[in-house]
Amino acid sequence: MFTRGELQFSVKYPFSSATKGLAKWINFDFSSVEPRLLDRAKQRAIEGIETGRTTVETNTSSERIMIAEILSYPLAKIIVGKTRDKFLISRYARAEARAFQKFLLHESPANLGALARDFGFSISDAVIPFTDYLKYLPREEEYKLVNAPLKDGQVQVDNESIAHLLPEKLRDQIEKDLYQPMDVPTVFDTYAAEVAKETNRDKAFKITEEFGKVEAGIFPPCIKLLIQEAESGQPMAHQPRFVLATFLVNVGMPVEQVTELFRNTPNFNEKKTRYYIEYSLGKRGSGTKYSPPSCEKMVFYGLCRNKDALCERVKHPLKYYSKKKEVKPNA
Amino acid sequence: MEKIEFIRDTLRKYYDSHTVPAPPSIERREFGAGNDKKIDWRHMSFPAEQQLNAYLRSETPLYISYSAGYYEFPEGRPMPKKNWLGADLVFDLDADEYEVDCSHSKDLVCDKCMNRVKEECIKLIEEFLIPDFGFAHDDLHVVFSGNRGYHIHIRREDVHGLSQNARKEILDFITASGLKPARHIRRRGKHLLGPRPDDWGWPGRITRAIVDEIGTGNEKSIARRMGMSTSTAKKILAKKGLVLGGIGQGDWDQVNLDPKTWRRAFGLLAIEMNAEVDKGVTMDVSRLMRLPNSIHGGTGFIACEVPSLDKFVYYNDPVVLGDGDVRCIARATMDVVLKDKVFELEEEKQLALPEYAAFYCAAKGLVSIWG
Repeated sequence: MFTRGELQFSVKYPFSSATKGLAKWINFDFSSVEPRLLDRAKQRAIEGIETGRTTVETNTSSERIMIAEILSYPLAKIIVGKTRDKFLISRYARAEARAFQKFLLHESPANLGALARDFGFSISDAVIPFTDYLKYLPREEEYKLVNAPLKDGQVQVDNESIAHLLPEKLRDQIEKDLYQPMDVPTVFDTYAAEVAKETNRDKAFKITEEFGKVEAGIFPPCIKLLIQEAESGQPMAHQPRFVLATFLVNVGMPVEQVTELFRNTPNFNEKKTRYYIEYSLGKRGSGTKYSPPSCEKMVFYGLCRNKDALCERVKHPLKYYSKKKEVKPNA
Repeated sequence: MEKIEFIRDTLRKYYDSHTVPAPPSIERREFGAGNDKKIDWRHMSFPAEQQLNAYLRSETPLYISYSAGYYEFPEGRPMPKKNWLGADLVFDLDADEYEVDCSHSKDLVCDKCMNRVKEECIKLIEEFLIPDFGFAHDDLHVVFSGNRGYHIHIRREDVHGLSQNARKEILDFITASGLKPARHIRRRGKHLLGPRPDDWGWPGRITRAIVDEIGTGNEKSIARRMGMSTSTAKKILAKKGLVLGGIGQGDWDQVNLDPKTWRRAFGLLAIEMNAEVDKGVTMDVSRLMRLPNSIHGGTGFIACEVPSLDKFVYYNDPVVLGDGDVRCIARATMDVVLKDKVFELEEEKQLALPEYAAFYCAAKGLVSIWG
């Protein structure tokens, strides 16, 4: 028996241990799922992939609606998994994680603690071992270990950082689950085909800033991150500087503008930076024109970060840019 | 005699009379060995110490390395077939990574560059691995590389599963890459809030350095270390007590400065206090590292565990080869110090060197073997 309050909790957190008995309670049968439930699940999947976040109806007291909302989670997972499409799977996992995060940020400490336990986090005295922290490090740059309070092997966590760690674990779990073979009725294949066909993939790429003729919005994620880092004024090592400078000059950004970009870094030296950039253009030194490193080397340097679906299909950051330039979404 | 014959004979003699202990979980490790390069061939494995030593006695490679990684099938190839099970956390510090103005060629070392790498290694251990990451001295196996650096092997089980990305995060922590000053010093309404000296991690570390500098420095040193003008430094010093009191409470607003000024100081001090390590090695979860207690074929030194870095003398402590006379001809004019003895080489002159010195000098191309 589920109370209304418990159902409301499960609408937000359909993966929590509190939801476990629901399917049995309502005698749910996977072999004959009502179309209205499957339609809702499909909608959940497409919404997540296109907008980057799923939403659920939390403002209802109807048991019937709440149950449909809860079930849309496992059903959407199966549908997306059945597409066998890496891009869709990773986008969907991310969307569920973001929805989870949004709820967590407003959650009571008691519920937060309970959910953390569900995810196998032993949070004692508001610290967790750094090895656990690294395993589910939120992808946001601000949660990098270097910015975290670390001492004696423990990272201090607060409700906010827990609210970021748990969704990463959920995302990880969803991705893992969706690559497992699934033994489900064929109707799910039909729905999966529909999701694959009806999803507007271009919507998933957001195109925003522009750098003159150079379209920063379609830079590969690794380069976007380096730009953010340069602009935010944090120290940059030689390798990332070189990568960023060579990439930008190779896509045609003027030396002036590239130099400007490095101005905020604490060890900025205008003369050196300019020399550097001209060097990579082949105007100085040996005259060799340099390209940024290949994706493989970027991985080696640890600079391949925030990989997205297109990254899987290219071997070079410049290729990513030129590919995106070819197919300009919404153009 | 050919140099390579002498080197191999000497190595074989050593391995015949000594047993190189197996690294922990030897059966899960991949081995690589080489003569011309450090690793000419790899994908080897040994079930136990006995087979490893038999190999060293029969093949006697100049260099032997083992994987930081553990595999189900260490001989499998290509790499994915090995089935990676985990890896030790390793750090590689090599003298040629650091900017030191030594006059010698890259092959050689001197006190200057060897002291620099030792300092960096001590810094890494004492300022990061122990206080921040919570490792105990016993978790850290510091091994002399056999030439001009040190390796740190951490074999504790909880680090085995760390992904490449997680290892990158550890490195970024140590090198302070990706530190975001703006995240730590920020405006909240009218107030400029920042870390307190007793905060954990980098924010606390940098804050302590700032408090220390303001407390003990003068305008010039403050301006230099914190990257501000001397007039700004003066402004701070004029309100020294208030500023320090404020920072002690996480209030960075006691002197009216642009937050960017504090953030810049943050970034500069991070660069000053970070430690430098070879990034590639630490992140690469399939990396081969010199086998501890094997002999480095380019020096004749043993890659020995270093119980105390402070006391370790790179030209004495790793000398393990014999001291029987070997007749040589010098190919360069220079002094070589080994085992606290000075060997004066004079180009084209014959001399007798103890085996360990003959090995070192022959391997470095400083002498030819005559006898």
